[in-house]
Amino acid sequence: MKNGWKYSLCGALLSLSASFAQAQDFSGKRITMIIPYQEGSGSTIHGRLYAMALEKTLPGNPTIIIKNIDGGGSVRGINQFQKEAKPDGLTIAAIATGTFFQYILKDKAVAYPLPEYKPFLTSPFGLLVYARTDLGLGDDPVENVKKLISSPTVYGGSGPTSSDLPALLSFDLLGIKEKGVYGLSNAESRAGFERGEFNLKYDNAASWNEEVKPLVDEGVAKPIFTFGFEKDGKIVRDPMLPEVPTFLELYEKIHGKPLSGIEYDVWKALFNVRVMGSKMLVLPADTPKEIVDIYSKAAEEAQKTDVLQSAQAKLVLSVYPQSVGAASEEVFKGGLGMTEEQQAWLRKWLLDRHGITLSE
Amino acid sequence: MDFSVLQNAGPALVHLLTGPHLLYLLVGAGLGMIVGILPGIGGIAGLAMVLPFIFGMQPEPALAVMVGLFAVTATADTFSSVLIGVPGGAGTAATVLDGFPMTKRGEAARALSAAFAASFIGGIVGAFILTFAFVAARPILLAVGFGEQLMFIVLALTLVGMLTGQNAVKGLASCSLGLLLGTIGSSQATAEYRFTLDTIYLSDGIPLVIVALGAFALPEVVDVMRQQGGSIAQKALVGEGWITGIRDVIKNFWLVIRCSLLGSLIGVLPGLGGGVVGWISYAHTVQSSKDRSEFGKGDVRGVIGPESANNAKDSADLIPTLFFGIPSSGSMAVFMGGLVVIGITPGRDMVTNHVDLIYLIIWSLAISNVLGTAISMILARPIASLTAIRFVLIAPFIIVMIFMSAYQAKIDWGDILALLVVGVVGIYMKRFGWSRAALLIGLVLSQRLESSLYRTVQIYGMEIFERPIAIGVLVLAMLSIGYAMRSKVRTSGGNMEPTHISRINIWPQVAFTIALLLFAIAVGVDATQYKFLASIFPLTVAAITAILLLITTIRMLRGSKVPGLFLDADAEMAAEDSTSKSTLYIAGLLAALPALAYIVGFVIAAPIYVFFFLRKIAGASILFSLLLALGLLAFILMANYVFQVPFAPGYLREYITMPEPFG
Repeated sequence: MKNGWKYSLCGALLSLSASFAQAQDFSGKRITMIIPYQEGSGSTIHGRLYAMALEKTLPGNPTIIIKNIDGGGSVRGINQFQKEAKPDGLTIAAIATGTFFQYILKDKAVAYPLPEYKPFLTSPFGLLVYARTDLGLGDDPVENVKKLISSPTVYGGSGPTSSDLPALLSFDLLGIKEKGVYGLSNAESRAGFERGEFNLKYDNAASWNEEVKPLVDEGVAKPIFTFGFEKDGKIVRDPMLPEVPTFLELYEKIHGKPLSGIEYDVWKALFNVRVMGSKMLVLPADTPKEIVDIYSKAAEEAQKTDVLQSAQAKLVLSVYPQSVGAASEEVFKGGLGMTEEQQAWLRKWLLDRHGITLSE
Repeated sequence: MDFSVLQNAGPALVHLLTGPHLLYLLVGAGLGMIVGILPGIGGIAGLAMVLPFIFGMQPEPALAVMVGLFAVTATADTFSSVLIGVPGGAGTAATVLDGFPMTKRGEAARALSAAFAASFIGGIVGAFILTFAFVAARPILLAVGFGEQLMFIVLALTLVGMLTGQNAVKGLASCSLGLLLGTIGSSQATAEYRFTLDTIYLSDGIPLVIVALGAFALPEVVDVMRQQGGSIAQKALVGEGWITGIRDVIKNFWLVIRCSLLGSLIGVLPGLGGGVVGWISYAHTVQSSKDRSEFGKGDVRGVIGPESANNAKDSADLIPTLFFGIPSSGSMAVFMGGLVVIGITPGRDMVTNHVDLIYLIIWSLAISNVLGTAISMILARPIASLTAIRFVLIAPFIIVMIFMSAYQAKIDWGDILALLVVGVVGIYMKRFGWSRAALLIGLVLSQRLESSLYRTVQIYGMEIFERPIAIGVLVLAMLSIGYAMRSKVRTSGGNMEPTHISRINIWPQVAFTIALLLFAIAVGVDATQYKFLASIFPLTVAAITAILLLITTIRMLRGSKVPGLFLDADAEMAAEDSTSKSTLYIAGLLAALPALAYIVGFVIAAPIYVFFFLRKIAGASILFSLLLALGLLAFILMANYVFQVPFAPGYLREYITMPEPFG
């Protein structure tokens, strides 16, 4: 640290003529991690955690600086990443659900070629939908969903084109006709839920113990379903909440047949983004394979560091398996795998159900 | 009520005073002082900076560092608001209204010590409230739903009535314009982009801090610069002012307590937000004072009220954060991130399992307030003496600081562009006597008003009028309007008495009013293309704004004698002192910095700008100018390296690769 700044100046001057060979050692370098959400957000906590671990496992132990650039559902930060990052491994970005959705929905502000980015780490996060017991909910999950279908439900969240999209699609596929109040932060909607102004909500399953379980214990809320978790190509129950049925299980029980056809394909594509690829770290387009490999290896080793083994890290990452390198590339592709036809279906659904016309 | 939790208070204090905790608290407070006084770095950056270091620490020392840091930042913020008229944050803009005029009068030390003493009491009251919040916080959270929040926002809005300035129509138009500015960006209900001019920068609206800097800091700098050769303090410094400041606080003790309670209350209530605290308490101070003639011209009560409330609010902010895991401000969100880093989840878990930590936080708050006040008081006199220096010598640094602070808002060139645009409007608003306080209050409340209106209609509809708390607050709001209408003296923070000179050439004033009118119409027309939920609010506000502006235009054209209608501060000043420089010339001087930065980047542009400014405008020697420019460069590099402050990149970077942070 003492000579850090001299090094960084010299290092940076050298990099004027640097070739990729030199980039394999990051000693004395400062790496910028762009996080396209606010300071204090879930993505920032996740990104900072990994930054601390990667500082220890990247060759040369560089310093990683966090730069929060929020706005436009992550579009502003990633646009800036696209504009500024060179393929030298000195700038990385945290991307999240919003980055994918704005890309898939072809938001006209998007100026980044998402498929060209090189992911080296993926953190999945399960989702849990829950509702207030004063709707008359009991212990039978199927009966509870039927109750939600027949009762006037009010949902508070951030909006249909945000990371709420998979949850709202799931509600509709089940036949729940919730009234939506949008533009709320998670904290605001939780407060509204506690007051009874909203009676339907979902949360990160990782926050089950701290946020949702107390409400369930007090008898205020009941878990309805989780999104499940993909294991060896199959969607199984969430490892965090194995006693709660998945959306697909409930869909089959309510409708008498499993979800299939284009509805399934769209739902699965959104699931890939929202659950399996919930938070990712990426390198810019055209980053040479050697650098991507260095990062993948560092992310692999990071798992064993005391940072990620700590109790605090477990609170953030929960029980979900982290994927690095090729495995995270796989998840990344899964998130982008929506066909033109499926995109068109989704756009029509947004228009029909939520009256949203997307600009092209 | 169960007060048994209070038994944890004693052991927590012992814990804090023994062992290394006090040391950690001192480290935190020291850091907080530095980031608070240094321009462009606030509590958020300071907290974010220490996060990596507290990882893996025991919760107790980690909390001591964090609490020490953010508790004194708010106190240290006051320096720039009072001394140079640059609001330390959007929340402290109210302090500028009377603090800066006091500085101009040579009473900087008095203003500062009054501010510090007031904020000390505010901090202690806040910590005290926090102690008992266990019992009341949950019922409050459950009782204040979106409907009640709406009524509280309406109540806050009615306080504008006291801050319109002499001409109520112009003042209300300013507030309306603020509301209208707040509708820019994506609509909460439908996520449609409104009046963003197809830029992604505006998609989340205009940052509050940009408007605070543009409406207050730039016009003040321009004003002081006109009197070339002068210092900020236009009269000799009043010695021993700091004792007078403390006496002022003692004399207005009940005002301090009232404003502290007000600040705590706003911190506890969900939905109002911190930005408005300073203004609400300022309006309350004006409302509850008998002699109002000096407000806006340097009344010490105008400093005491907002400062005590602001610091009390900072402590109260912890209540929703700690007890419900609902961060009420940016720095609280970072603080929450810090709690997660040390393995504590705020919310129910904290209240049931970590009561000892909560008391540790409360005591840390109280002690850091003592520390922060003591350090600030010691620094007050030497720093206040800077205001006696020839202004042209410090002006370039203030200009650098304003642009540097602005760029921290979104780390985007749009910040600087927006600051210039708002700055020009702010300069003319000041010149022609439009209430900038009302503008800022409108902007602070706009999004909250619209969203709580929408939520209330969706959730309650007309049933809102069946909820007793909502009705109670609404009645209060009506009383507040009635009071403002009856009141004879209303301030706006302007300090100019118009004479016949302001009426000689009315055309610039008419033109400015029409320009504002065109803006309101443009936003209104733009709004018509959106869905009902996204268009109803901006359309309504645009219509009200347009009507108010139309009334003003017609009155102006008819040469009406309504008080406060005409004011041309430039003409008044030119009549008094013919050597004063034109606004255009000074605006050009200001714009030279961003223009240069656009080409070579801010890091290189700022020292060059300072060098030439000192050399050409201030007539300093080459050596002196060079030394100060290099000093600035060293500061910038330090801020970039240690505090990771980003600076605006230049156009040249597209062609020449330069190391960070240059280019």
